[in-house]
Amino acid sequence: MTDAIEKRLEFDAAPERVWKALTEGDELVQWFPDAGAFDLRSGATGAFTWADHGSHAVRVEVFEPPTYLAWRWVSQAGTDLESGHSTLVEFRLGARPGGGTIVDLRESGFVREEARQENVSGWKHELAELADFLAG
Amino acid sequence: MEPVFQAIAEPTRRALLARLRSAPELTLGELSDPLAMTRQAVSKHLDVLAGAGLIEVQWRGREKFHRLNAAPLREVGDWLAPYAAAWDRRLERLERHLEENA
Repeated sequence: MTDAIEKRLEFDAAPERVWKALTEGDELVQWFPDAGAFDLRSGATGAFTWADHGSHAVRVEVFEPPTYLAWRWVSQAGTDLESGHSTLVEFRLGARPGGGTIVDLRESGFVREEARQENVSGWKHELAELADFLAG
Repeated sequence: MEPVFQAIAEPTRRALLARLRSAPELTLGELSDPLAMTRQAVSKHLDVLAGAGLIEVQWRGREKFHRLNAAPLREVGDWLAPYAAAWDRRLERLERHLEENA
């Protein structure tokens, strides 16, 4: 248990196919937001919109096809990434032996982070430690 | 809930919790000696942790002993449950999308 959500999933589709579904706007709207999806590219910004819970600003932080994607999004609809609280969503893709893709999803940063501005890498390191600590 | 988040949002306090995980109990001196800050500063962080119910403090003689209480951290997990459920639903849709559009 930690302040992060972690999920591991396996898909029969190849990593390149899964990557497309995770990053291309017209693919994203098929399974994730209702509208507003844009092509996720390095540094791209936009918003994911749902009919029932509004529009959430998104910024792509890391774009390394087809293995690692990270984007940050605001926790509350209508707030902006600079002043609002946000969480980081990461997808790590790996080829599954014998075909298919293993995806590790992680969303982190749910706790209020007064420390974030001070030291981002330290924060990451300590969150990992916290995860170990909570799991132990 | 909020005090627990506030408490674990700060790196020094997370470090203190990690130390207390590996020892049954520690004094203020034992907790502050490895840190590059005054005992007074560490003491303030410990007060925040105690306020959130994450540590228990006991005086024995002239020493103050600190002990971890992990129970409130479980609430953090409960609080995250709806967010985790949202991802389950999204990923299920992703799986269906990939099957239908191979």
